[in-house]
Amino acid sequence: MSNILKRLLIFSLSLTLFACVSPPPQETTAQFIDARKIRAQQLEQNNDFPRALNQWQIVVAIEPSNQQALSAIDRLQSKINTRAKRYFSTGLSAFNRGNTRQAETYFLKTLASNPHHQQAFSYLKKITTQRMQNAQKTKNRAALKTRKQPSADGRVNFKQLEALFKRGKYTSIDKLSRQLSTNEMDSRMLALLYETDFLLVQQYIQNNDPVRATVHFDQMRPHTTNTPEHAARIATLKRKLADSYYAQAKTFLNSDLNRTIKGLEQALYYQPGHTQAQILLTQTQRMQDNLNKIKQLQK
Amino acid sequence: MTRALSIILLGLTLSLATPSYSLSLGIPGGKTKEIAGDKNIIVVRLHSQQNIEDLAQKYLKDRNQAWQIRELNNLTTAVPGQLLAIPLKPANPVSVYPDGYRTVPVLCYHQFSSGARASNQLAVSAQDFEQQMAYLAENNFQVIPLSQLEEMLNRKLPIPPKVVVLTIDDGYRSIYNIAYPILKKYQFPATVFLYTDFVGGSAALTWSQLKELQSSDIIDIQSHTKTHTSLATTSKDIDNTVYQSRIRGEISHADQSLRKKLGVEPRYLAYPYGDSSPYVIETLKQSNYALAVTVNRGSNPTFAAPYLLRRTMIYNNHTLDDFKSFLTHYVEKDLQ
Repeated sequence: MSNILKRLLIFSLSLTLFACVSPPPQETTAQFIDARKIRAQQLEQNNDFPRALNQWQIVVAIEPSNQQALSAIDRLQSKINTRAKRYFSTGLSAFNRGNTRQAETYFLKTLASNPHHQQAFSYLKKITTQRMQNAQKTKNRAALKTRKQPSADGRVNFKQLEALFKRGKYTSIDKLSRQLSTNEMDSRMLALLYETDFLLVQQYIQNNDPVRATVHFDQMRPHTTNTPEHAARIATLKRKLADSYYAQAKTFLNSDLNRTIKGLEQALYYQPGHTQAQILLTQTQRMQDNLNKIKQLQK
Repeated sequence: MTRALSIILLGLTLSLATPSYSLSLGIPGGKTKEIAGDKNIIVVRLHSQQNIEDLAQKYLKDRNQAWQIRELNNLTTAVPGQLLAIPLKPANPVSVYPDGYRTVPVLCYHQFSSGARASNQLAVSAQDFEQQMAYLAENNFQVIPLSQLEEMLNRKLPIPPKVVVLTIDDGYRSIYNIAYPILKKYQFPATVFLYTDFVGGSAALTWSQLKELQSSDIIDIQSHTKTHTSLATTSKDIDNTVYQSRIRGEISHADQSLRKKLGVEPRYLAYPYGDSSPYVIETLKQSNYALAVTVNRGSNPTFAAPYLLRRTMIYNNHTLDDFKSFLTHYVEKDLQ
């Protein structure tokens, strides 16, 4: 090896060594905090409030008096609480009505909003336990009947649901499906339940029962695809639900202004451009304000 | 040559002159610089020759919890000098998110065969078992012991992104000959649910084999009752008293054997045939059991019923695609 080559090799080796032992570039706390802020904003935009909150909590761990972080924490905490409270109350009503499928969805929504919501967790656990106990009971009863060792799997099956669908027994399908958890349902079953819910929404709208119609509408929504057919279905149902809530709200106008307002808000939730509901909501709110003022004056 | 040596020396001197160098050089997982923190979060600076797993080991007492640090910092890898936040308490103990929730699948094996497919549906061939374990390893599944699932159900640990529990029922000898070496190779923990009357039978494990398995870090031995009869009411249970006494016997006799022969205090039970009843569950609670598994297919979220956990049986006619479909670790659901 020539002398020049040797020197070149030694020089490059020493350069490599030098590079290896150089201190790594240090990320400053300011850079780190900026990254957390950006991430928090992205998460908040995606409605992932708990994760956004965690990012701000990191900032506060570094700078305990960072006003931007402290006010973001307050804002997010308030959003989380409001949302969780609303979902939990819907879940609880559904649970008390015996609709465990809807209750499950809303308790899950509560936990997605606030992962530390103790009550929602307890109710979800109760539903899961009930469901498993029912499955055990069905299995044990069947085993005793046939005087055979029970089968390994006593689940509700697709054929059973399909037969009921053909006979138009939609509410029975709904009841049976509550024994199943989401991860037990295959695509065929989900498609059948989607159709069942679609038919039940229409049935309840016809019977002027928008609240029950909403339950099934909410159940079918997560399984709606982006196909034009599904989109059209959803749009039609939203319009019908809005009309149904509007019609029901009007019936409470002379007896219960709070229910009227709630009904109109629901109508506008499903059809924000529902002019009649908008007008009536403004009038009802004004009426309620006046009534409140009168009450205060009387006091 | 002298000139060359002086160039090397210059390089070394320059780098040694930097104070941060001496702290990080050659100390794997050495002293971590804590920048800030409170009771929930600590912020540290990653040093050379240290990785996220080292931080997880130090602050979360488990290398496998590194995923929590990755998720909180929204990254897959970290470089020395980078700041990292470490969650000292689970940020999301229920593992429910706006787009769904995480679950833990529990798989249930029985027997293993060395040759081609056995006529017994419950005997999974060594080749298939190896392929299934390789799939878990290659696809970054964390294989966790049942004790960790217990912590997840108690919300002390959040569920990792991809996780699975392995269980083997009955106590066949093929566990020792076939499954154990494969599990050892991948360092995957598994729980053997043993029905104690079976031990020492022609196809069963012996107590000395069971001792060897229990003393490894791989196998945990738990109860599958004494005789493997169904714990649901059967036609032989003339009245409730007979039934209750039978249940108590099935559980306590198995407990005594496990305690005496292996020094194990059982905390988990697999129901024979997956059958349970409210009385069985009550007895388990009184006997200090924490979890019990059925054979109802499916995966378990944090809010699963601890005494009626879902578990999926693996048969020898299951393909790798079937196996993959049993590994549900996330249930997608719009929860916004």
